[in-house]
Amino acid sequence: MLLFRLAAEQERPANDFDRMEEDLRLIAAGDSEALVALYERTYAAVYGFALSICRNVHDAEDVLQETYLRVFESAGRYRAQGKPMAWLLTIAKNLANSRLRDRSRDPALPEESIDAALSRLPSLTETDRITIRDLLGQLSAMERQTILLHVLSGLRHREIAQLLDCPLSTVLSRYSRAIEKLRKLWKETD
Amino acid sequence: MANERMNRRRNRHMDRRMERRIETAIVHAAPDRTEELRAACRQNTGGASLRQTGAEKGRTPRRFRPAAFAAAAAALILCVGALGFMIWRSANAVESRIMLDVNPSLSITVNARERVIDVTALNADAQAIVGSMDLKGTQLEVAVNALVGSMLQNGYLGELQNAILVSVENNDAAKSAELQARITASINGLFPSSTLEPAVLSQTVAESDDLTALAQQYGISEGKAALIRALIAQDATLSFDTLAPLGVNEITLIADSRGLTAEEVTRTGTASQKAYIGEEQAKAAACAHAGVTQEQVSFSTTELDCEAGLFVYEIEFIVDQTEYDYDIDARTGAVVKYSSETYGEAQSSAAGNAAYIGEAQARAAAFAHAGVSASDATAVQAKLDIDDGQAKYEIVFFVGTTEYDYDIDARTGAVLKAERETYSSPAGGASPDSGSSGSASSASGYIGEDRARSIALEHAGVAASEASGITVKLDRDDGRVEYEVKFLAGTSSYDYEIDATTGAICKAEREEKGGSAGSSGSSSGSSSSGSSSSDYIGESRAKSIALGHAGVSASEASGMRVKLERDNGRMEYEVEFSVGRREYEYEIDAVTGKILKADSEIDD
Repeated sequence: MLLFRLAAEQERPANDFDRMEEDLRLIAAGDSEALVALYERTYAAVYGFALSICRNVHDAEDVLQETYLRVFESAGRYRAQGKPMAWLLTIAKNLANSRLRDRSRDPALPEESIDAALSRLPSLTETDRITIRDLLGQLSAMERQTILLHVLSGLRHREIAQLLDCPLSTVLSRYSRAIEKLRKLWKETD
Repeated sequence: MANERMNRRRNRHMDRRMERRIETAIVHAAPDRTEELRAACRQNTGGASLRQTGAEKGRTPRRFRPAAFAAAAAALILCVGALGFMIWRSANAVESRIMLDVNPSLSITVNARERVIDVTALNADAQAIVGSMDLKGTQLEVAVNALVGSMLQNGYLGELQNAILVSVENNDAAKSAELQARITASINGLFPSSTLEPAVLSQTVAESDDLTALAQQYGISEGKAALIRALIAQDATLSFDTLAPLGVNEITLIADSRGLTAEEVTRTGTASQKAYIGEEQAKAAACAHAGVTQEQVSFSTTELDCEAGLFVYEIEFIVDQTEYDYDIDARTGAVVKYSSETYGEAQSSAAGNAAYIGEAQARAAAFAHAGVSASDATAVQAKLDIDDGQAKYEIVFFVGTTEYDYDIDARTGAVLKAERETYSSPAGGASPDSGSSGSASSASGYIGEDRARSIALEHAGVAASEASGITVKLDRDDGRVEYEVKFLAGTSSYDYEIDATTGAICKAEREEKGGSAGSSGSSSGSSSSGSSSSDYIGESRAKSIALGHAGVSASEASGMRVKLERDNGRMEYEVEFSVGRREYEYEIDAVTGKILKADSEIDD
């Protein structure tokens, strides 16, 4: 995502988080453009995180939209403490987990193979398809969540640990394992 | 060690690439839901009935959910899918790239609707400008206004520097020209025209691998690379190394002073010369320094140039038998470099600066040190040079076939450097006899291991009794002979390079063994030959600048390393530390405290 790539050299996108908080204040006052701005700033992190939990493209898309509708409803309840991304991702996490539970309880829900779902997305390049297929197919759920949060959210490992409710050391080892797996996989396919 | 570090770097590089690959894939896969969000907001600003997809209906009886979900999913695919992706694709296809160079260099990509897709800072100055601005999705001209506005606010543009280069990359030539004109007009509108008029240079550039490589190498845009290439093609004395670090204002002035024009470039306005004193004043400064009147001299040349990042007037003139060569700081009028050469019999030239001992005395000091009489010396050359704020006379002369090369402190007359080299045949084109030159310098030239050791210990503020594992090695590095001194003291390991001839500290490095950043011990900078340590901001200041930039507190940082090094003719503090697994690397100008490089990476 743009803003995080810009900030990558300076590590912490603290100012982006400030902007998000400002957006949330405006959203609480009913400003739909602020909601769009927040979406533009954060959609990749929310979508990637949702996808890493749901392992299903449709569900991730639904969770993405649902998350921002939730934000629109509840922005007034957000209390500024410099953690808007964590707040946003917590909403996404709850929605995604709920969706995941629905899936497991209702096997009748339509299920499409990952490859088929990805092949329907015209915006993906072949590399994108392989990338997402491997993320969803070759990594454990927690490895996947850790690496996607790390790449997309701008959160620190410590904050990722809080969000995923696990010790920091676990996050670090999962990240290394995930990177190692992908490195091997992608060396072969590149 | 070096290999391990290189491997680590390579791995980190690979990780970065993989991270980017993941990011790209997710960004490509994510749908654009902005229109839906807008519509939903319009429908109900209260938000109670916003949710239409049924993605989460916690209290709905479970058996109804499949139907609700199926309906929602169907609606979503029908309404959103196709449209969503069309919006997304067109929104993210790069239509044009607009590059802005002042000294900050940055690049903006926009889509067909001229909405910003991405803003990339190409150098550290641009990072300061872009800062926290998030311009994604904004209209191009709004983004340009914001960025140029920030340059004005931050002093990159102003009365002294008013030139900006706009380069447009678009496959359609007509569209490029139109964009060029529109952005130029827009920038012109940003300046308060009554007091400040900009010089806007604009051009269209085509994508090219050559330009991209140059641009990346020098941290500038392809546009600025194209401009510099066009100028160099006309004047071979200019180079990328010289011009790339300069702002567009200076480049324009240099081009103007040499009558160079880049044909592709359209210009409105004139580059500001207000930062500079002008040729006449520079000439006057040089004459005053030489102690001659303008009537006595015949000017041969005056030219604007850039030496080691400093803008100077190069002035050459002759008085009687003496040729003077001055570099005058184009901003301040200060004498940056001065040399004079007297043909025929050496005669005492003007004393110049009263604080200096003068050439005659400097020569005498060198002769005395060499143990030769003035009458034995031939081809005597004296040159005043100011290096990193220290003035010294460089005295070179021959006695028979031996060349003597001295640096004499211009204020104290102290011998800073003494070199002697004997040639096998009479001087004047003969190559040095390596055998005799080697013995000459080792016999009289080097300061010795003991002296090198004590210089290093003294600089580190460590008593000899406190230091352990001291090693001293004579080494040749970059054609310079140095003593490499290493030792341990407390929790630090020290690594020094001491010039074997002058005893100047060429490198001073202290590394904390484990633990957090210790603020104990070592003093500020080192004094390398010619620059005094008091000019430097000091290790602790460098450290806090880096930590401040990273937004990290000293207690969070571990493995702190601060190194004073000479790089590109400039003294820099290299600051390295890590927080968790993220490694930070900074280069900080040792004199100004300016951040020259900021880098952070996740280590694996």
